[in-house]
Amino acid sequence: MKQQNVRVLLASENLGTRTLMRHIVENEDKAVIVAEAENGTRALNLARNMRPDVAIIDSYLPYVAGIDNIPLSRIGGLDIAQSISEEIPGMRVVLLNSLNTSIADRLATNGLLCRESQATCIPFKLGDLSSINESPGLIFANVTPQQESTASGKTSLSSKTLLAGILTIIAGWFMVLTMFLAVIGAYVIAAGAVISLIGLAGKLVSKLRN
Amino acid sequence: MTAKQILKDCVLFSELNESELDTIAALSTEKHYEAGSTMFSASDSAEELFVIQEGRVAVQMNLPKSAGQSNRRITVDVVTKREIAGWSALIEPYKYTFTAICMQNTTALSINGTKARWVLRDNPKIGYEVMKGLTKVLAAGLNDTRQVLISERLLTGQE
Repeated sequence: MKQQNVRVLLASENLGTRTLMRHIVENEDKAVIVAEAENGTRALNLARNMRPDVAIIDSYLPYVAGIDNIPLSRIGGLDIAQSISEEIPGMRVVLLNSLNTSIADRLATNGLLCRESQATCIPFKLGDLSSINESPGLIFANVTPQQESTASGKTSLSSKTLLAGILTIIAGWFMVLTMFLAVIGAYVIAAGAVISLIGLAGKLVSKLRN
Repeated sequence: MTAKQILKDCVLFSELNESELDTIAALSTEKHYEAGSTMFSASDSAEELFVIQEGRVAVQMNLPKSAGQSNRRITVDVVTKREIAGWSALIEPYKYTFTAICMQNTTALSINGTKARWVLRDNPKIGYEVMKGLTKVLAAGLNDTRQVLISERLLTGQE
């Protein structure tokens, strides 16, 4: 059976955060953005009127008042998320931990939503939200850098380095076995070993950072 | 980071000397809360005072439920690292007036309210310094409220 698109509402006052949210949604196969809001009042109205499947709400979201949309308070993200999830029971609401502009820019192309749990943050896809049993549909989330060679299928630099190192070692062995370039082959093996070690170190550092 | 150092960095206890900090640290335990969990609820008996070590906690006020509407809660403050939550544990009638929801995974130093009150009562120097710190916290909150009131008056044209 064909899976239906996940309709998503985005809400953040910060343009950088909205760009990051947009990238996250666009990186998913079955998710489409149906509305964007820059304040809490508009986010609530859009959620009521458009009934998206998922709303991603920035935790620092202002309430506004008047025709000039003057911000009253910038700590309304949780209130809006709670209101939406209580008013519209079927909708999953992701409350995104606020990011400063530099972090949002850094994660703009490789950010992945993750659910805060105990001491860790578990990555998740918007399409999988229906299987997360949390009441009343409010999920506290953060953004983490995409793990190496995850969904996108891209291979990281450290993996490429490791592969290059292993191939160099194999090439060196062939040289040694032919006896024709045995001395050069030994150097090639040594170079391959160094490249492999650099690749492994890169993978280790990346694992520790995540 | 030791409990004593965390207390020293908090405005409520920053004026205490080493031995006084030791006295308060002896009443405290480290607690961990998952994002989304409730640290305390409004009208519950205020048994603990929290000093936030890591994470962010939303302090929310419950609004009366009107006909046909769901529960409404308004975030009045967000408490972060080195700040306190649950000061009702030191002030009569020792009932929380707000609800605290962890917006991130949070680590906090929990200070036993009853024992802390005994210490404040039996050691006037500690009592004075802590109450002075608490006054600063409450004054800052009052100032924020005044700012919001002024903004709202200006918006509704009642200046």
